[in-house]
Formats: sequence, C-alpha cells, structure tokens
Amino acid sequence: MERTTAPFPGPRPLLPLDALSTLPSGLTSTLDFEVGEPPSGIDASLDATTAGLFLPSDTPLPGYSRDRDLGDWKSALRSKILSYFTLPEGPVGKDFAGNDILNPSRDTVRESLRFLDLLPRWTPLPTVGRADDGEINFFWRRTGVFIDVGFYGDGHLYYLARIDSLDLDRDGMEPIGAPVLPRDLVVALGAVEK
Amino acid sequence: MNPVPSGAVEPAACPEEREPQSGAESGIVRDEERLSRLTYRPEHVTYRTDASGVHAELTPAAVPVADFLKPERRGASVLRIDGLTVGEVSRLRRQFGSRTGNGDAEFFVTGAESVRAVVDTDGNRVFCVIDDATPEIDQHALIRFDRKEPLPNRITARRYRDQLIALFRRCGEE
Repeated sequence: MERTTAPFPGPRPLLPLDALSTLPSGLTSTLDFEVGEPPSGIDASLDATTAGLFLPSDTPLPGYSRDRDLGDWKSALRSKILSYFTLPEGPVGKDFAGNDILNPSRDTVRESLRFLDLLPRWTPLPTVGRADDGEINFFWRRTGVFIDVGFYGDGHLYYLARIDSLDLDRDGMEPIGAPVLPRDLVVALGAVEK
Repeated sequence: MNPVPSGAVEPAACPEEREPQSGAESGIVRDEERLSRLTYRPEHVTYRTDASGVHAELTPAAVPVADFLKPERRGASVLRIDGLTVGEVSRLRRQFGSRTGNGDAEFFVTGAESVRAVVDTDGNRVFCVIDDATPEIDQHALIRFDRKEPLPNRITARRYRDQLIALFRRCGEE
C-alpha cells in the first residue's frame, strides 16, 4: 500500500519531552501547543510520535531524539494515548449485552494528554486503558491504595482517591483546563509506593 | 437453593430480577450463582502484590460507567459461569479475545450476592442482577443500577463502578 506522507507542519515549537521543568514563563504544559488532528487519509501505519505532530514513523524529527526518552514512562504513555487518535470514531462493535463499543473521542484524547503533562515526574507508573464507552482511565493500585482518574471529553477530570494510610477517601471532578491538579489527587499520588 | 434474591435491603428494589426476563431455562439469577466479567484487553487487568502473593484485579476501564448511566446502554454484561460448559467457556475466551489479537479473554468472577450487597450511604441497594439470556448466550445477565430515576451523577456512579470491580477475582484465584 502506498504510504500517505503528511505535509510537514512547518516551523512549530518542538519541545524535548523532558522540558517541563524549563518551560518558558507563562507556559504550563507542552500541550499549550495545539495537538493536531491526523490529516485525512492517514492510516494506522503512521505513528503519532509527539504532541501535535502526525508523521510517517520513519520521518526524522528535527530537534527530537527518541533516545533521550527511552525509559521515560510518560513518553511511553504519551505514545500510547496519541495512538488513540488513529482509531475510528463512532461505534466499532457491540458487547454481549448489545452495548456499542466506542473508541475515545478526540477531546478525550486531548484531555488525557493534558493530564499526563500535568502529572509530576515522580508519579509512579499508572495503568492506562480505554473503556468501551470511550473513557480513558488512569489507575494506580497498591494494597491500601486505589486512585482512579477518568476522562470523557467533557472538559473535566474525574477522580476517586482512596489511601488507607492517610484515611483519605475523596472523589470529585475538576476542569482539565486548570493549571494544577486537584490537591487531594496530588496528596494521594504522593502516597503511592513506586 | 434460594430461588429469590435475598440481598435486597429494600424489599421493593429491583423488581426485574425477581422475574425471568427471557424465555431461557436458566431463569432468574440466584444469589449463590457466580458471575463472570470477560476482559479482552490487557490494560483491563492490573496486578497487586502483597505478602500473600500477586493478585490480578480488574481496572476501572474494564467496566464502562456509561453502561449504568446512559439510557441507550443496557447495563454491564456478565456471564452466569456456573451454567456454562467447558466448551462454551473456551469458545467465548477465543471469540472475545480475538477482538484485539491479544490472546484469549480472561474471566473474572464474583458472586451475585456480593453484587447485590453493595449499598449506598443510605443503605439502599445499588445494583440489580438481571437474567438477560440471548440467542447466542443463554447464560447472559446484566448488572444495572437498581433505579432509573434519579440516576446518580457521574462522580458517584464511578465510585459505585469501582466498588463493583473490587468484587471480582480472576477465575481460579477466588
């Protein structure tokens, strides 16, 4: 199959993925740069390599080194979540009950990427998955620890955090556009053993 | 065997689970039956380690909240595993697992009575377990909220969902 070559998006800011600690003032996240849509005609053989860029997987990216991010779980999860952009929208099947199986919407993917960028680097590795209603879910589970964060494309972060050792049991929702994470959530994440 | 679900705190809760909802022989779901949720994505399983070993558990993504909240969705799909033959279990594992090419699906199991025992802060039941035999799977059932109005908001529904997934254990590790 002939590979579709996406037009190079031209001079747009390319941040190293570990640049969160040195962002210019006023910029809180790499996702302050718009996350682009995959150009029409692009199929799953293309690799969403970094926020905002959808290029054939063999296209060299100026100023970006994959080697720099080897072993970085945030980069790995970013790639996984970005890959959801390539999934078809709308129902893709039915479960045994006849419920539609839905892929995450574009907005849900954007919200998840935003959250990933806001997560502190010391955060332990979560399990990230998509539910059949289109939710993208981040989950941390240890004995006595249960942290569930979900996105649905409605502009909000939904969370439930239960930490037995802190006698903490909170849930809620916050606009994902906020520059910081909910305090309860950060406290809970700080209690998760690596 | 108790023919009538006994987990109800409210006698009037979940009228649908007291009558067969299909013409299948399996009839209503009894308290002592085991229910199985099939997972077909590796990301729907997480592993927790403690002094007694490693435990496979469902992640929240394994059960969509919308299955309980959206009127166009019928509820969370489960199988009445005690009524399935070994051959049917193998077929469903292959059929469901092949959706993602990640190998066979896995069964996570809990008791119907445990699901019916989940209550809200007022002591009211949260979930019903309803017979839902289909032409393809006569051992199919649904887990739903016990009432359609008023439905809890998404924050509360997620909390109930998380209570539900905590009940399931991988088949063979119960």
